[in-house]
Amino acid sequence: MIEKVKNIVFQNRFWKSVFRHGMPVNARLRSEAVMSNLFLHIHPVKIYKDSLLFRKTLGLGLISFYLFFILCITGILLMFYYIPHVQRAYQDMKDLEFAVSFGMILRNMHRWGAHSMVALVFLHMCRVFYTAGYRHPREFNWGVGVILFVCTLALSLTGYLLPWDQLAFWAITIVVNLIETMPIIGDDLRYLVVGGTLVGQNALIRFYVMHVMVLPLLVTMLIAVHFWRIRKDGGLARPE
Amino acid sequence: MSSEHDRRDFLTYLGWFATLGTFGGISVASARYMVPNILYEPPKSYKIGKPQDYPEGVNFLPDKRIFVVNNGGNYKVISAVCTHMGCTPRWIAEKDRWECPCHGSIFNNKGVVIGGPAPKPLPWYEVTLGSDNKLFVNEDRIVPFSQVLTIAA
Ligand code: HEM
Ligand code: FES
Repeated sequence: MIEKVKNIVFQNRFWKSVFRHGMPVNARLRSEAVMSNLFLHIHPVKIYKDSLLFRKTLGLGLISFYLFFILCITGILLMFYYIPHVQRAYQDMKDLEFAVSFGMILRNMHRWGAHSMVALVFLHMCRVFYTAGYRHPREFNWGVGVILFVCTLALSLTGYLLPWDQLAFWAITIVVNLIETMPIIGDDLRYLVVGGTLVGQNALIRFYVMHVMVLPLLVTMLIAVHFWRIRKDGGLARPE
Repeated sequence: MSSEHDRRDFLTYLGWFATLGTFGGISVASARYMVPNILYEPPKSYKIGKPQDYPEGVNFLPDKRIFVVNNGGNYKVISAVCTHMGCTPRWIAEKDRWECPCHGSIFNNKGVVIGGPAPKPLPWYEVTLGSDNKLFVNEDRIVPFSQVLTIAA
């Protein structure tokens, strides 16, 4: 019976066009399975034993990536109830907490995930620094990493305004006034970020679009470059 | 050897159980999340002001999508949502009937379909007079054509 079902599911042209290898039952097929899968082949087929040791990376980069993934999924789900309007936003947040089934856990996954991502990306950066992973030929990927870190902070900041509560309002008021203190461009830049002079509807929709479209797209692209460059730079840095 | 195998099998099953449990749970929760518990839609029963606000004849209330019919102090309320695809039929006084602009359904002065694709008559809604002397419409109560609210002049 089980054999029959297995045959129907796995022994057809559709399945075989998706997964070119057979069942990963031995070492060779397992490596083939990994090699031919976009989601598993972050490491090359042949790799230095050292690079796989947990204590070499502490898994910080991948944890950052998984957090970003969780934030995208939970963020998209939040978007089904959240309306970026000054009269609706706070009300929607309260509905998410108290009226929508599983809304509270989704909101909190997003919020705690966001805080964790900032911490983990920073720790990942520290790890790379202390293992001198930024040296030749990996200077460029360090640069990509710095932009990714700045983008993470920007996501955090833009997301922070969205609940439109007192915390959000005053935090953003402070940030945009900080921008104003920049020499020469300060005034104009503040006007551009806020979309006017007061933190209001224009600021909310600007931050929202940055938060759910522009920055996530940018981060997705940068992560792709980041991962691709790890391979091109010859895997993870290791002692000479 | 067998105990080695038992342990590996056990851990394999445990792994699958945890993985499927996690993703299954998240999927079920997310699906439930998509079903709203609270709606911010207009109520199905509401006040529409005093009877005297509605002169003799057929009065259209665009916000509520109903017609208030005043026939010599006898009040009736009928839906202004075409039973075909939901457009708003117009009252044509000269012909004493409603005509829908979208696909040409025609309803006589009783709301009964006399032409066009509409499958059902326009429903008449219950209308009562509150103690504040205001008309109260309840769209959840469909009443027969014969039911009227008579207001003594
Ligand atoms: C595609 C990715 C993302 C989408 C679609 C998204 C969407 C949203 C939405 C709709 C909200 C408003 C609801 C709420 O406040 O909980 C929100 C809030 C927030 N987001 Fe995101 N987000 C994404 C990624 C991120 C990332 C990567 C971070 C930070 C590292 C982040 C940080 C925040 C923060 C701090 C809040 C405020 C949360 C709160 O007050 O509850 N988001 N996000
Ligand atoms: S919607 Fe009225 S006739 Fe089609």
